Amino acid sequence: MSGAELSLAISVFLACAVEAVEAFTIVLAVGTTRRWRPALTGVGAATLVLAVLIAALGPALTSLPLGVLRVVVGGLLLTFGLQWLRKAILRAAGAKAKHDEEAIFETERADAEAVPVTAGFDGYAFAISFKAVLLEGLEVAFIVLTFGANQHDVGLAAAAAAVAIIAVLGAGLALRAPLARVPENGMKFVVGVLLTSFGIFWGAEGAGASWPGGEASLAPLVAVVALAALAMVAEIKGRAAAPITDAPSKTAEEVA
Amino acid sequence: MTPRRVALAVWDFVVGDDWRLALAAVVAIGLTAVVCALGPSTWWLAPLIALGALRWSLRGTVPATRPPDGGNDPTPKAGGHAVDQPGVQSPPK
Repeated sequence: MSGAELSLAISVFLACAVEAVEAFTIVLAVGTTRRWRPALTGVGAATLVLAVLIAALGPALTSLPLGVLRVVVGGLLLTFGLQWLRKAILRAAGAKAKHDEEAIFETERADAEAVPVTAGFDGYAFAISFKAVLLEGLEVAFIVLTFGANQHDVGLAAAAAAVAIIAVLGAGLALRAPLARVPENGMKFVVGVLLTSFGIFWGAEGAGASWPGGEASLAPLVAVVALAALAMVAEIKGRAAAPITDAPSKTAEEVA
Repeated sequence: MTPRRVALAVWDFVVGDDWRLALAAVVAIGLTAVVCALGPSTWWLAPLIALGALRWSLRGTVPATRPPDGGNDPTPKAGGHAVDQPGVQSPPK
């Protein structure tokens, strides 16, 4: 396995594991509070939709000329990665609430308990599970497609995603509890760094730039993005202790 | 689901909280393409614009632990809240 393939597999695995943990928490809350059969039917239906999406869009993306593909995919990955990294930096700096799977589980369970269970098929359990897996899965599908298409290896990307889902499901079913111990926030930070780095790399390459050393420059680029992100975390944290002047602050509306 | 809602969902999925970061991504790749077409290989331009935009997007953000009315200064002031939306600023230092 080449360095690029390994990077692809790690990126997809981490992103998929994070999303799978989030979806698992919601399905677990619905399944334990209401009924498992409709909840799992919802999971199956959403998985089918995602598989069809990947199967349909994968060949279409890989058929694009490489230059066009890298500009489009690089641009999308960079946009997606910067948003992901921004949230991760805010969480790491304490400016945004961290993901707490136990709190989410309790909220989802309370919501599920508030809706009466009717006789016959439980549409609520189906809908909530379907929506959770579809929404979290769309991000995974996006990453599988973009990374896979760019490396011309959608199969490897899909396999890495499948391994992540199996690992999360295995751990979750063994514990029968939300996977609160998974370092989700740290993983999101790493995924944000990787998405941003790959987006920059492929986007610039597709635009005509030649990276010094070719694919070998990807590792230093990841390091630079990671260090810059960590510096931004430190900068935000540093503002907590900084003295404030009498000058009035700006609101979001004034700045925007 | 109406086409408008689908478009909004796609926008929210790809662009997210801060549309200016999406714009920065387009500018980073577009400008790289323009400069590369003129001659030099400006591989450094995209990371510079992307990280600069990210830093700019986070300007003025403060952690949630900060007292909303101003850290070590007992005088009540506006601002200082933790944010998870772009553009909200703490008082200038």
